[in-house]
Amino acid sequence: MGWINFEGYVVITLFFWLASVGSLFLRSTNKSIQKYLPSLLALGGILSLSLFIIVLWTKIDRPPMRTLGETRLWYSLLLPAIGLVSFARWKYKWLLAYSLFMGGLFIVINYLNPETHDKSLMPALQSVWFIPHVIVYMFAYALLAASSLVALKAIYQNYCNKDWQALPSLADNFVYLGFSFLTMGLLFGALWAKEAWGHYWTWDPKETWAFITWTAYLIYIHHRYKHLKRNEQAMWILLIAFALLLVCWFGVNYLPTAQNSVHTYSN
Amino acid sequence: MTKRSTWQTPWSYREGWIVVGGLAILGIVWQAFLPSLKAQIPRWPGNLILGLLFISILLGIHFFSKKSAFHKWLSSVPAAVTSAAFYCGLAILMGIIPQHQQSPSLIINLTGLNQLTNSWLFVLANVYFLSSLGLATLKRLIPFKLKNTGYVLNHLGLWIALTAAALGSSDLQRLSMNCQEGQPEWRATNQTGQVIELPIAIELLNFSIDEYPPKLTLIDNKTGKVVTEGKKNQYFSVAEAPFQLLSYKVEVEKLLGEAGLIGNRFERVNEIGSPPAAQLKVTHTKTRETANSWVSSGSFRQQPYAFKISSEHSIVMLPPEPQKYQSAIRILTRDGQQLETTLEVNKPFKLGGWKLYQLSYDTEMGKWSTLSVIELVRDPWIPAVYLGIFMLLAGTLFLFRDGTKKRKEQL
Ligand code: HEM
Repeated sequence: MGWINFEGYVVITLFFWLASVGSLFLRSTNKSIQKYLPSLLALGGILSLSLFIIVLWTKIDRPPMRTLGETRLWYSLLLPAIGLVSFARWKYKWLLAYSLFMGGLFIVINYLNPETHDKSLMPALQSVWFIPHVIVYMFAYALLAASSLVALKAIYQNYCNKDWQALPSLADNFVYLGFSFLTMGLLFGALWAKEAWGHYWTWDPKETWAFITWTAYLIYIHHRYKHLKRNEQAMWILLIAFALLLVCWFGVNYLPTAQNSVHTYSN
Repeated sequence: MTKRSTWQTPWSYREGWIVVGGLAILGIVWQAFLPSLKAQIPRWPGNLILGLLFISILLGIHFFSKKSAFHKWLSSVPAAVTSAAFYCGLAILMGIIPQHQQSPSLIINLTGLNQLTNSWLFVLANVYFLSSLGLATLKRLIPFKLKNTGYVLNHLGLWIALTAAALGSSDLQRLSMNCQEGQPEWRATNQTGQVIELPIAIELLNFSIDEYPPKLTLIDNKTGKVVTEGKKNQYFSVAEAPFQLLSYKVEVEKLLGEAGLIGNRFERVNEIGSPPAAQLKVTHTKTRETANSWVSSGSFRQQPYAFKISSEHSIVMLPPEPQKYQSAIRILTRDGQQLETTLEVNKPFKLGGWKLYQLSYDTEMGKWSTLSVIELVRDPWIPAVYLGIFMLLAGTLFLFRDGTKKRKEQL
């Protein structure tokens, strides 16, 4: 069982991230502390969580990528990682703070709601495609989540009549990266399905929702290409797209079509 | 911005949405009132002819009506966005309405929303989408410029993959074959339940399952349900013992892979249908009291055996889960050739234009199953679909690079 000492890692990780957020808003006379401390602290939390994932992986003897709880774990790692990288690149404090907050939230959810983490991996999942498919998807989801955070912020600033003109192009950066990962994930999935189930695409509910999500971001990209000035419309498209992504990720199990899915693995 | 009235050129979103609405109505009416005219792609070579016709029309529009408002619009972003939204909308319906089963709603059955991929609505959405995508592709494919490589990989790749998948769907054959150990079988059933005789026969030599160690859990004696309260993990593999279940420490003293009940204990036996069994020692962490008894998962032959540790709770063993299942088979052709191989999930076997997959087995019998279900798939269009998929994969790398670069220039 993987969660044996999860508590310890939770405390350490959350401590680092809280300290990082705190130090973001710290007024220090020492310039280099102000510059590097938040990043270092965030990195500390990321490392401690990575360590936990490694320990878990070796303990359960299979990639921890199967249940919803396990994917949440990756999400709480990748979101702060992306927040940290973009902080280093673009210096948006609020973005780092948000991504750490979201990462922390996912950890807390996992802590309160641990699921069974058993060792068995059904035969269909034992494939070379499994790890690339899931990792690429997790990256895509984390990047696209980051883009919708930006969209939320933009819409809020707009509502408050504050300047938000720099935000849409930041959202674009996340979407372009996220969408290329999303496309890879979709295609890896198709290639894998051919090996495991005999056909690359069967419009299974999970596949259908993955396709819906993909077209939504496709629409965003083309809208942006043609109408770079219609920022507000674009931000709303982004929020709708993310809502569809969330349905694909969590919601599929609750839809009337779910009983037909071959992709719901958790009991 | 000056106001433009509908259908006044250049066309844009409004016309796009009107086209979507028109196609939706057309599709629904067609489906409901002309049910005999089924939305079906013809088989080879009809699908090839249809494909060539489609390409010719697109090329014709591209070369001969370059300046027309229609062409400009159909190859523009508004058409791309509206056609993608149409497709997306149908997919949402597909994602909500259970497919391939009768719906309680008459309207859904009548309009084909319960089998959307075979409906006229879907065909029309596809035609609009692929026409828009095709013309958008041609716009930057002919004449070709090197800087458009990424664009062409993405757009042409997607067009090829989707068109080939649609046209090829009528040539796709998926047959399933029930193979009994020792009996060569040459009949298979297709997805509509028809029996088809094949030029080859398959004989199942041996079916086998590797299993994970069985798991133990705690159930409530009254309800028979797994106890979840106060615990983060409800299932423990016997391989993980000793472990803690509520206030009990559980140790495995003896583990038998195949066992039979003799009196009140289990002994190793070698019979079909003998389930695993384990002898457990349970210690109450507070009172230090211990108890000792057996658990067994049971099988199609034997009753499960539970260990009642208190008036409320019992420990039970769950049937082991398969880690791997495989069929050793012999393939016999008409002209007397023989071939032996092993099929396993995720490891299909290629034979001529066919691929053979390990599909399932008699799950009731589990590892003693003498039945293996093998799926035979023939999909002659797959090379074209894969060409599209690999072009798209290459295209994602361009998106990865150019997406951020283009933005940087603007910042
Ligand atoms: C894998 C899917 C797709 C990707 C990654 C993609 C990406 C792109 C990108 C990055 C651009 C901007 C071109 C540039 O910067 O030079 C673009 C333009 C465009 N795309 Fe797509 N696209 C995809 C699918 C589609 C589809 C399905 C359609 C139509 C139904 C479409 C129609 C268009 C059109 C009309 C343009 C504008 C071209 C122009 O005006 O020159 N795309 N696409």
